[in-house]
Amino acid sequence: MRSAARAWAAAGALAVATSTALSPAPAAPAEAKPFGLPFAEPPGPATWYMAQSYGNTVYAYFERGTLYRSGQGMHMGLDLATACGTVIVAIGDGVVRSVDGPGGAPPHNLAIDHPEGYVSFYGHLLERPALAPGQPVRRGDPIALSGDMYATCNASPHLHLEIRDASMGSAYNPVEFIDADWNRLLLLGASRQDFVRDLDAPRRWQALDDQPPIQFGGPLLNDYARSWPQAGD
Amino acid sequence: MRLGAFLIVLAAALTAWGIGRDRVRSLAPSPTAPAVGRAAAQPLALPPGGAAPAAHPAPPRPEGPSSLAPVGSAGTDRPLFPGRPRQLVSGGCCTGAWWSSDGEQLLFVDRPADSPIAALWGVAAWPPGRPPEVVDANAGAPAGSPRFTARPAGDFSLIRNLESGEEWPLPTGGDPVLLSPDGQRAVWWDVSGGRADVDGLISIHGSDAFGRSPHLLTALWGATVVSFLPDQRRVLAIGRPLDTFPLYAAVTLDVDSGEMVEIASGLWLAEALLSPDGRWVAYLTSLDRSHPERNGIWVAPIEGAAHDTPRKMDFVGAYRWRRGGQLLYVPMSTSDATDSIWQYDAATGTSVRLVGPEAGMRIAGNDWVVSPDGASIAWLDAADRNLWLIDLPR
Repeated sequence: MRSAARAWAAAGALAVATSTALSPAPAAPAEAKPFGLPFAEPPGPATWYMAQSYGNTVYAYFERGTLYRSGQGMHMGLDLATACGTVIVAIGDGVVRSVDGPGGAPPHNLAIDHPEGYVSFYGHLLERPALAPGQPVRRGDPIALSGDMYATCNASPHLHLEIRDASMGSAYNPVEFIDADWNRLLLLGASRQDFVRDLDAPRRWQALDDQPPIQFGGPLLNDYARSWPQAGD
Repeated sequence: MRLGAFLIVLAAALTAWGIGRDRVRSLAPSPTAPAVGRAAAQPLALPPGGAAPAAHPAPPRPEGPSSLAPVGSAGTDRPLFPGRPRQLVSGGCCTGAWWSSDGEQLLFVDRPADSPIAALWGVAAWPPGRPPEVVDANAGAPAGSPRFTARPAGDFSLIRNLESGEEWPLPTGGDPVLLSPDGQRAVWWDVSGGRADVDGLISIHGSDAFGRSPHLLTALWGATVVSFLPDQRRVLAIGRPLDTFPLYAAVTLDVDSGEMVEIASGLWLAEALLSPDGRWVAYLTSLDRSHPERNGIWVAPIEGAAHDTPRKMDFVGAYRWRRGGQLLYVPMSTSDATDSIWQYDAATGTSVRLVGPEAGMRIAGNDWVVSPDGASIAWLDAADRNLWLIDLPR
């Protein structure tokens, strides 16, 4: 399927020819990214949209000592808001690594090994995926249904999507691996993308595509002495 | 001036200066351009270490003020050049910028290289070429009005009046706080952070601006206070009355009496934004699989019997109010490589494009702000992460 986001990314390659010296520099054409989006439908209020990005988010900061402690205080993946029961598709060719295996993100999760050496991890699934470890999947195949972390669908239904290394010990910014026009995807609503600000280094980790890799079990990366918003109790 | 002629003038100007756009970014600060219009606000203080650091080089000057005639200046003293983007800063400094209350500057929190502390910086919207200056040695975030900032201080928020320099603590528990633009009232809500912001029961408190007579206004699940209404007595808030159903409501809350009036409701209602004249609210409803026609961006009147007749917008995208009932929006779904700015008029229900893709805008992180007079917008550019400005047609 040719998603709208992929269409936008392709269109981005034309920007150089149309810009002028008066205009901001066009976005560089996306380098080849191995993966696609985890939904067959285009983004929008009726389907799915970005709810929380990867990395130095305000949410993760407030819960750096609890929910996100294992990920060095950072949000380990993307949260993509979508209604419970939305079909999730594989972001790339691969082989099922685990169903309801380690990695958290209850009530159900799924991990797929990809030949590029990465693992895609899908969390907060509505039900146990009807797949078995070792089963091959192709990019775009339906693999699961989205749910929410409380298994009630009453609060913040979303897909939690991570990209990990083959050992599952590190997580990376999915934005760097999934072919989409991410800034365009954020153009919904009245709020800018918000990251917590370390007042001792306020420029660091403030962009969607400028976030650190995560080593699970490593020390906190965001234990800021002075921050905005300030540290939660 | 037609675009072609303007390009020629610009090319000549750049040639005369001996610079090109790419080269400009690495240049050290250059002399400031001659002042035009009202002078920008003077810096109140400099951080220890002195003047503007090298990490804030002067931005390029794409328009020579002496060689171009402005096409108008609606509600502002500075000349306007609609449709002509202008880079305000270099160095990728300025996420989350906001306009000063007088519309003269873009404010942002930054700590450039070699600066010992983070501070509140400002860059003049006009004239071009001025490097940013420290506006306040304390780094705070806007608190309901560009006049005020708040910064954390344990169980308090330190409120600062940027115009007078006055500062005082509010017993907010360190929670988010908004002050009415007249500085008479304050509202804060006791988020505990993290998922609790979305999923928890949030209490909303009110008091006078100095924290006297604090009182509980209401509690809603997943609540957020949006802004004060122009009457400076009520606030717009959103939240869901029930924990067990994701139906959110947009309400007005009287800070003195606690009276709550529902304006609109919808599944996962979010992203509420009050128009500058206080007559309209724009919001987003989403993820309603049973009633897909209910998903989208809506505009509803705040007052009167028409609460039950919100109007659904025919676009999907990012939005900000301009002035009155004029809603600016940037479509999300487009095949254009660059972003466009459109304007919806709530009174007439019509839309018109103000800035086309030829302007080359690429907004990063939905980070764009409308000037107080509605004449311009500033945005964080996705390609260079610098702050840019463009004036809008009337």
